[in-house]
Amino acid sequence: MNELHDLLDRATDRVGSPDLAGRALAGARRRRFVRSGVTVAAVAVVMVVVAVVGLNRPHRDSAPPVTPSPTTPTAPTRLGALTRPPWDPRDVDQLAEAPQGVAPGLPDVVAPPATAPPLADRPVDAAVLSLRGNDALLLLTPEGAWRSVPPPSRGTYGAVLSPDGTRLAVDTGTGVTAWALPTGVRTDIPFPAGYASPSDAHSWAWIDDSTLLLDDPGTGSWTVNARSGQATRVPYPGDALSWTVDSAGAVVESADVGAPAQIIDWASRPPRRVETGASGLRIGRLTSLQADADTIVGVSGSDVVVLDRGDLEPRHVLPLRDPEDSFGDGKAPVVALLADETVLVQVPVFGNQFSWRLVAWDPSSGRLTRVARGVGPVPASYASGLLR
Amino acid sequence: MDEEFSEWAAAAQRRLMRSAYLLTGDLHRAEDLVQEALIKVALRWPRLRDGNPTAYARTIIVRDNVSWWRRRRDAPSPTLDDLAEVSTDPEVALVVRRALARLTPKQRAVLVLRHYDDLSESDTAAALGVSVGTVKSQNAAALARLREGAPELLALIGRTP
Repeated sequence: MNELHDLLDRATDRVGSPDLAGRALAGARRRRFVRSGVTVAAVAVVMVVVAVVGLNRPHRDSAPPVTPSPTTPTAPTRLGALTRPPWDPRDVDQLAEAPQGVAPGLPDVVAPPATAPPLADRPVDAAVLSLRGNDALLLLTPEGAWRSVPPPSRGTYGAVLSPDGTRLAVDTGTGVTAWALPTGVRTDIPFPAGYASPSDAHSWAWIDDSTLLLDDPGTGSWTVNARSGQATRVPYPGDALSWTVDSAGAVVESADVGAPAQIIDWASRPPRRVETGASGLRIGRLTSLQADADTIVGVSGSDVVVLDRGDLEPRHVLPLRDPEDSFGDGKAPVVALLADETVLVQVPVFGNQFSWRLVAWDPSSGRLTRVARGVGPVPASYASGLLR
Repeated sequence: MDEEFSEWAAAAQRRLMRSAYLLTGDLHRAEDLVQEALIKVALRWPRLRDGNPTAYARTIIVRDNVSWWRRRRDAPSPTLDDLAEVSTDPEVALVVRRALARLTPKQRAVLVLRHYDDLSESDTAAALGVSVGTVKSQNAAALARLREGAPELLALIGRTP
């Protein structure tokens, strides 16, 4: 029906296109940024814009797989039994305060100062979180003191605290700077020799207090000794939409679009791969992953999902009400999984001034409480071990 | 990476915009859809650059549009002056817009993918996440609905209902 083609062509022959590539690249950077659960004050403005624009546009990451994953019959009644009543994060300030002892390393209010003493001059034992200040990266200790280090080259998503809070990795664009907080000593490490073309998508994580994991989607992954810089190519994570390192240093990942929707657990060799819909509980791909020995938690769309690590089956689901598309797809990321399986979710608050809250969700009881409130930029990373 | 992506986007975005406009009948909505699709392509560029990023972007556009459709509010009908922005022949643009508005979102997506983007039935099925049989039936239903409800469109291309 070529005539119809020609008519449709005629009907749109003046449809132009503004230069969307630059905006798309900037948007992609912000999206990675938010998915990682890290942002800065400037991004808060962007998130407000996204929230407002989102009134008229779908933002759900409905990116389809390039290769369709096998499907299995759904079991809505069973999934429904696991699902808590939806919670509206816009009501976060109506939540009760969390009992003392939940995330003990955090103060009730996180209010970063304009300036702080340099870490190199005044070392500290550990930091519980890092965030981007005006012209420095700021570190908050469990005792409430602040320290500063030079900022990362790539926004804030290139700065990662080790789980015990004694190390900080800061991406430099040519490698990484590893800070030892107890001594204030920095070690500059170049990218591995085989890492020829670093992309903007690379990221770092701590496997233990002396080993980093560098991942670049589409290029590969390396473990990097944080003292010597010695690098070893590793197969994990694969093409992941999201990945995390558990407290034992094992990677857990959620496969990216283009591959079957799987959770892949590298705690064993070969890794275990379980399709998220294999049992009939189709929870989709997870972002914002956190894991410990028994549990994996992440975000699927606007649902916070807890899985049993033994069988990689969903155990609890907390749907977030998200009519303005402000919280789904990791915009309200899971930032920690506590020892009693309480899940910490970081919730953005859109008001005259951007702020954020840290919310504790106890999956077994469904109880939600407010752990901390933040003024200004949200944390770039948390020392998960100090929150437990 | 950025340079490669920008080159691809510069080459692909106008075509994607025109498809998105045909799907939505709304330039602003079309731009939002294309913008979102380009972001998703950019996020996955290392994996897509050696494949078919345009097909991937198109898939995102049609799927996002179908989900958006479910909660849309009707935009006011454009005037001929408004349509001069999208076509050198605003009257044709108006007839096409009205005709496509008679279709369901799925029918409209099939029609645009098959008859504007010239995708095969199997590629259309893959883009929409449906079977080839569904594409065939939706295409037939779309054309039937146009024959019944939008004879002015078929008249424009020299066909009668």
